[in-house]
Amino acid sequence: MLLGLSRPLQRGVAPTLHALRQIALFAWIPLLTAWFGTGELAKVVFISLSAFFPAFLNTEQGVRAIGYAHWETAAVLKLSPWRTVTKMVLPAALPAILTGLEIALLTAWIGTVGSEYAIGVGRGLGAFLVAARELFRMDLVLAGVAALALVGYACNRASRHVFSRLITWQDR
Amino acid sequence: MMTSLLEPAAHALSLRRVAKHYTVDDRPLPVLERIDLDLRRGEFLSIVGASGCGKSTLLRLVAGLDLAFEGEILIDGRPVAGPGIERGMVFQDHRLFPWLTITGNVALGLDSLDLAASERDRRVAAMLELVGLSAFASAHPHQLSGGMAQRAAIARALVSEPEILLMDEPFGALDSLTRVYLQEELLRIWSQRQVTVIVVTHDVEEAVYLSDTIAVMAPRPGRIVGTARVDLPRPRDRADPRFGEIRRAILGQLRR
Repeated sequence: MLLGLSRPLQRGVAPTLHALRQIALFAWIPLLTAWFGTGELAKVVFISLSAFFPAFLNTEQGVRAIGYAHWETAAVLKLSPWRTVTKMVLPAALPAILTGLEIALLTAWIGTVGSEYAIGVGRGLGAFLVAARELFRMDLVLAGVAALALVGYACNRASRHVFSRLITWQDR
Repeated sequence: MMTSLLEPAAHALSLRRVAKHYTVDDRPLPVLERIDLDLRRGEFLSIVGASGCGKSTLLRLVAGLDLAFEGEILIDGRPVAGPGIERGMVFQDHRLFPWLTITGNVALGLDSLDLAASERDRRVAAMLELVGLSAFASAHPHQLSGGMAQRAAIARALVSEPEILLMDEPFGALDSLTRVYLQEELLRIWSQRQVTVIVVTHDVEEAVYLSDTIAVMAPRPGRIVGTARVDLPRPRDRADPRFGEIRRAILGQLRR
């Protein structure tokens, strides 16, 4: 939000963040395991990281894409900075923010399974897939993949359902 | 010195040698040149001109949306330093926020006044009553027709009880029947609130129907080439020969 609103902040911080974004998600794993070990903490950090960029990028983009007409209206009405954000910026950027969250949910799911798969401990679906592969049980691997798809699909449907209730207006 | 302090501000709004230019290819391109205007309190002024003559730019200067100009714009004798609640603005498109109800949109006009909630609700309700939208208080903008949305925009601009109402082609996007109806409505609201009004329009008939004074603008660079007073009694009859005479005179000035 702040990055979308403030140009100096954008100039200062955005290049760093956009450079970090170029690092492939799974390339973080060696670093994260070195910093946080191979326990739950490393996984949580990895999942947060995987969800962060889509949410961040879409929020920033959504705030930046607000047209001058909205800004002018807020200026003419002499809205306070707080009201400008709550009554204009947030609702105007909400569709983009929600799109970001939807993608973030998906990448977080990928991150969840991937972290188990790559960091290698736990009792989740990722660990299950590793174990099944090592036993050459392709039926179990396929069942695991199907379960992954189902959970991902369910997450997506649930989020869409919630988001569609948040946006009750129609743009014209 | 004493006399100038005691003297009341003679005009609600004064423009003194207002000029504006853009810089194109490192050279100044004048868009407004030497604009002088004085408005009495409660006066209804229309600015007519072809598109591109700078009339909307001029209105934006008065609204305080653009401070890069030369000369002086004085409201009650004080220079404009940005938007203010003593001026209300209506754009060509209603610019209501689609996520707020009509009540919520109109209430935004009171945001800077720091009123008690009950007082705010009372004033919003009274304003919706004035523009005839009480039944649509909790509707969203997409549920309103173009004319109704524009009436809501007028309510939003007037709810803070500004001294000056600025309107940038307020009825330009409406069909002709709705336009004529809203012109009558605007005159009714104006006569009840006694605000000073500036309407920017390219519709000469609209200007003659509404205004006390009409300023005619010519393009490149934008300047006022003539002003006309309309002394016909209201409500005005568009079929009145004197109405047609004024309209022709202004069209003649526009063609020059």
